[in-house]
Amino acid sequence: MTLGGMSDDATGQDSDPWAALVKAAEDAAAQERAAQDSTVYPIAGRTKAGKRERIVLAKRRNSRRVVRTLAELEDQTSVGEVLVRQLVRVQLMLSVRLMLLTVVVLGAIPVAFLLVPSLGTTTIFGLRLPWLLLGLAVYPFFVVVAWSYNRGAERNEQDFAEMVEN
Amino acid sequence: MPELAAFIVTIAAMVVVAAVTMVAGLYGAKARATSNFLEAARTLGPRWNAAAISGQYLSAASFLGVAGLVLKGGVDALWYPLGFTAGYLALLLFVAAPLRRSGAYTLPDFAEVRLGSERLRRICTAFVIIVGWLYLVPQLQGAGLTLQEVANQPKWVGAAVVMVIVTFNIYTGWMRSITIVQAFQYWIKLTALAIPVFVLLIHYAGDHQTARSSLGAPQPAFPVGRDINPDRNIVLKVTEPTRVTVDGKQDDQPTHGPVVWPPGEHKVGKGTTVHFDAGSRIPVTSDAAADYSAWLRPMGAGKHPLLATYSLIVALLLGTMGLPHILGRYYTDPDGTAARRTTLLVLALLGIFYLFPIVSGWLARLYVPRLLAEGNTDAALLDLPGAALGIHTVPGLLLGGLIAAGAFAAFVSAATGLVLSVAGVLSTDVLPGRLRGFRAATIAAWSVPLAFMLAVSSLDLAQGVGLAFAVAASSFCPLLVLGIWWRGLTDAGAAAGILLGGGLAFAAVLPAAAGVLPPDWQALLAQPAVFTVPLAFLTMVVVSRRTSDRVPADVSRILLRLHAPDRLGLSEDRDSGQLPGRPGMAAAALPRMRGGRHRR
Repeated sequence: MTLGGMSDDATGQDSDPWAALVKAAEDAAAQERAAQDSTVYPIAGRTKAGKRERIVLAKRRNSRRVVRTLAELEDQTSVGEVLVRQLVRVQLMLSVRLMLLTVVVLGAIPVAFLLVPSLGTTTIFGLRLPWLLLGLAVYPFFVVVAWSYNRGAERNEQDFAEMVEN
Repeated sequence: MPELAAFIVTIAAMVVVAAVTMVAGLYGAKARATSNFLEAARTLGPRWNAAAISGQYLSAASFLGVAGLVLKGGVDALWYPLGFTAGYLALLLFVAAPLRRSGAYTLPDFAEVRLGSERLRRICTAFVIIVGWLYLVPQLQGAGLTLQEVANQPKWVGAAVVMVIVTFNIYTGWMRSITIVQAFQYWIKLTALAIPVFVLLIHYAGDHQTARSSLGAPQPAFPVGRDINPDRNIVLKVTEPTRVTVDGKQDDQPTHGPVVWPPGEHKVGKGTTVHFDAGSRIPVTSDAAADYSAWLRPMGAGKHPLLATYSLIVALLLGTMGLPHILGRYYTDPDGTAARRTTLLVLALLGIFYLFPIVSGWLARLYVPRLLAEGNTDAALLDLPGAALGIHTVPGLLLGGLIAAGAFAAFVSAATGLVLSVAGVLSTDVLPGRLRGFRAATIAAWSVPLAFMLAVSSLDLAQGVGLAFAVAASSFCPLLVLGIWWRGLTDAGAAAGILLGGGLAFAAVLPAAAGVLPPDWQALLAQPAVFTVPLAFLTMVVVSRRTSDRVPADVSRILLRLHAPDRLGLSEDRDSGQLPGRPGMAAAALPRMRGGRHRR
């Protein structure tokens, strides 16, 4: 196992990207052929028994077009560049929105206690409010924010992939 | 005699923990033999990796430090576990999936993949070492403290024991990044903390005497006369005139004999013995909440509470993404989506864990308030079972041993990850040679923090770890966030930001780490993140704009690789030579083909 020490293999240009793309298209076509018998096949590629598996009822018209768009992305033609910029912007906006929500919620807690000292001595179920908030309630809050982020980010990626593939 | 019993029980518990770990390690080694190591790890899935990340992350600071801080600071201390957890939210939102897709294993790797600069890589290497060393000091300190409390050994013994185990682990490869072992560590730590807390809560429910005397009084009193014997210079606060017998130095004056302390602060020199009569209120160190009501209330202790709170949140929130031993673990996830799911699970696992140190800090305020007077609050968890159930009783002994063993698991797993990370960059980027270099690097990786810890150890465990977070947040956080989301970043800008932000943060926390900090500067210097993080971001942006001709030519291709959905198969791994070259749609089918459970 190597620890650190990556230099040239990271950019990995040793294999011809075109050959890889053609191989990809062939694989995709093979998958489609395999799926023709049953008209239903997942393209999201989830391995675990996912709850929300994407079902596609019609087969893709032309797998060659996938190759072309992918190649456009890789070669940074103007079309590809616009697509990537758009994806990055959408994903960043999602992250920033949720980060702002978290920061505002967390940042408001010390201010609230400073401005309204009586909040600090409020008791709920025999426990002080600040203890309940900071010791208990924030953790489920984090999990909910993270969960909604994962949903949003995966949906953005799905939209992008569909745009590229159609 | 009770000491001997405690010692034997503790050692037995540690041996059990070590044996369980070793069995898991052998199991993991078998899995590694049957197939490629990384593939074997990747078939385990996000659940195992999330437990492994949590296991490696929950260090001395979380296991012992949080309870001690809650004992001392009350509700204000809750920001520490909160921040330790929230860091993973920031990591998820801005870093996890793109970092995984970059194929980088370490932070210097990422810098080189993204900006292609050898010089920047070296700077990152230096900061990986700094952060790793700062993080290792509290681990060693915690190990020393644990053996001091349970077996009355000098502090260097515990630290040396941990380092011997860590070195042994690394040399034999038993614990080397094996996901199963680290995942086990999480459950061991959770069990070692949850069982004592449940037992003590049941005990507390039936223990009306302690409940009345502690919660009714503004500040608990010594039930019997007691000698306080601090092992460093401390300042004690008393709230009423208190008769004490001093033998040693008091307010810088040699004093021998009885004196009456007026309300206020009193300096007590290292090695001085102060005797308190039965019934006198227990004093607290100057940085602790003075009485029970201040302890229950927010902003009860310390100077500049608001600034200190915000600065701490910034450091913990943004520092987690720069911890070298955590980022490497994400390499075990097969793709960016799995990295996201792993992080979500980590948030849940940490939230469950931190409930227990918080509750035990609260129990410690009831049962071991004398630690406040000794300034030794990190020992709260270790002393708690004995104080509540009696040191001579079997439950007290067993629970004490369980906690000590869990604490040792925490030091060993966190320290192994840190030493591996530091030794990794030392051997590849600093020292010459390969395998011999790595062995030498392992020694170098722990000897410096060990020497530092023996020379000075004045901070609480969680505060000591906070310094490492501040430096990581001021150096690596801007590099990762701007590198992933902004195409204008240049190598010159990144280097300038890391050197200025990270360098200033390091310069600021060094006096705090060395324990030579004037108290008035505590808020600014011990927790500089609120200033240094924005400074680092600003520097990176401004310098990158000025050197915009240095933006890498392939920046669009790299950003595409970081952000493209996994099923398009555009990301590249460092081990792609071992995986058959199957990009494109086939990448989606790969995990399905390899998902057999027998690979574990």
